[in-house]
Amino acid sequence: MTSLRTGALLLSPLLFVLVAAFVVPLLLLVPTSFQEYRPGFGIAKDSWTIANYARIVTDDFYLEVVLRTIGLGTAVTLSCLLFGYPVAYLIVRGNPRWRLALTLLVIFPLMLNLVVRSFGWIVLLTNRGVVNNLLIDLGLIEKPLKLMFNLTGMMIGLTHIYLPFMVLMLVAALQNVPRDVESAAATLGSSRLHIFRSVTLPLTAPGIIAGSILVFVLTISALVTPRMLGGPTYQVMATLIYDEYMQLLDWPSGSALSFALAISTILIIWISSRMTKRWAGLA
Amino acid sequence: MSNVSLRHLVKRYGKTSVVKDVSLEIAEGEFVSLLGPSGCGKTTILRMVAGLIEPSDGKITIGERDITRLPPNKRNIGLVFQSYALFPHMTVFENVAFGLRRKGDSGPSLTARVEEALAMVRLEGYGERYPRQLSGGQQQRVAMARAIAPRPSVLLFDEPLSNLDAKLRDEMQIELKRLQRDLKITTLFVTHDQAEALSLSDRVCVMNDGVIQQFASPEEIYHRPATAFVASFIGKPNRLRGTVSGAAVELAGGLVLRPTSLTARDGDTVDVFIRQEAVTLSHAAGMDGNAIPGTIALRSFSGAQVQYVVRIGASSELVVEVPSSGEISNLAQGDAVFVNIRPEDIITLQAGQTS
Repeated sequence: MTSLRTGALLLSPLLFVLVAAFVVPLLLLVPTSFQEYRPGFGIAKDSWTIANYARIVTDDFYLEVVLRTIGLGTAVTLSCLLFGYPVAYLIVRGNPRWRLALTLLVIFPLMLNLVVRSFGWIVLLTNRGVVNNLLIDLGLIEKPLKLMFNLTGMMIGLTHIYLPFMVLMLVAALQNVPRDVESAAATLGSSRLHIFRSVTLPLTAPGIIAGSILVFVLTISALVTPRMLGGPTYQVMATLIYDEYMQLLDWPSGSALSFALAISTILIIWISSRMTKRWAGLA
Repeated sequence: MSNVSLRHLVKRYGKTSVVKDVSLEIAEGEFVSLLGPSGCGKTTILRMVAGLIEPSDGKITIGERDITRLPPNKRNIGLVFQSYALFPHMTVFENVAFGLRRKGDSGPSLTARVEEALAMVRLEGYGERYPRQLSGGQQQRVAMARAIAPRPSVLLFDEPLSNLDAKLRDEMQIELKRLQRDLKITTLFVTHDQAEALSLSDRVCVMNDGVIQQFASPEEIYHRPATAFVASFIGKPNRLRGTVSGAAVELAGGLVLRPTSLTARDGDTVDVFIRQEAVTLSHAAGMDGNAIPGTIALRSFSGAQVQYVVRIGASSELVVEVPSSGEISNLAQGDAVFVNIRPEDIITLQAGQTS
């Protein structure tokens, strides 16, 4: 056993950076989020208000952005899970000779800059882009499909960008499923589908939870891809917070939005992982 | 009918054959062990019967049913793994109920049968626990309950006791024997532990290198091994080399042994196997012909037994095991003794057989 002192010593460098560069600035934003922003004047230091928070749930525009962000996070997480699971399964259970090639294929997009990848999707998805032109040339559609500056575009782009994280998490989880346990289910009369549903899937729940949290958090805090594929008007919380801070200089509102985002994220993660654990018999 | 029959079973991986033309008949209700060193193909055979490995050649039938190409879930078998392989995300009750549910059982009859199975392995009242809350022995008992609950036509055990410590292993052995006697389910038991195989089985199938060496009752295997491999694998044998001369075997250094019967012809070279535990020591020469003078070279005490290394003749040594409670257990190095070997305990086999 490592003693408490050794443990603290090992943690201290990271802990210092985390506290100095993250926790303290974050705490400094707490009072800011309760202050009033007066256009043309700046932050009023003398008065306290909860209007910044109240606006998030009462103002239709803000509320829509919040719900859109959470919806986007959920949708991207689910589609990563849906596309990622078969890939992870193939990597772990498929021919061992393909394992390295498949893993590299999954990781490869991560070596490319985020802006480049997002721009690539613009080229593909725009009104006169590769996808629409192809579909029109094939005579499948007459008018270009709206694939960008909306939820569809963001979903496609973000799913592609965060899929590797999900796959890597699921690979680790699948490798931990003992083959004997699956064999035991088979000898007890389970078909392959039933084995997957009743044994493999629940046993990979820790990986599903970890991958989902990762993808969800990354998605709702993503800035570059939503900005590029959503354009200036189709906002999510990250782009909105950016605008509040950098364009409008409304720091109080931006801080309030940040905290609202953080708190709702924590709540959603807590509830969904509790539900998953109960389903998988881990609780 | 649930007799099991393996006919000309072969398993090849690439160019290497791990199971080479194995044929085996297991009668209804019989307990048969596959015994052999690791890598002898015994687990491969078991997994082929379970349907987890596909045979390269040959045929497996249970009763009249050809199951060679059936998936495991259609075979109606129960398999107990060395690693227990319990479902970690399910309670003990759900683990045992798993196979029953697959057969369409539900409601009160399901509960009754799960509880009956748990009672058989003496785990009443453990239904609500999770496998991780149980000890290794308890987990293995759950695995047994899970395997027997759906009343399989054949029970398969893949080294089920190897992960348990020695004391628990002895307890589980007795439990397993009782269970099999009560249920009368045809059983195939894979192990590398000869004591386990001999004490549990109706018949033992000794294997080496993918080939059956001998398939007979435990007594037969122990007293009349068919090959040099079986003779050297079972028990704790001394192995000597000798030449047949009339009704006796001449060992190096002019020593002569007289076994009850000899199949080898005059002048043949034979391997002579004498079990450590079949030999007695005495201060004076015994009555029968096989009393060999020797001197104690080493003594080692191991609780119930004392082992001596006895030097006989010019260059041979015999390891002898005697009960530590006897008067002969206090010999010291250099003491002169007589080694007495009963003629029926001398096993002679033609030399040059595969070992």
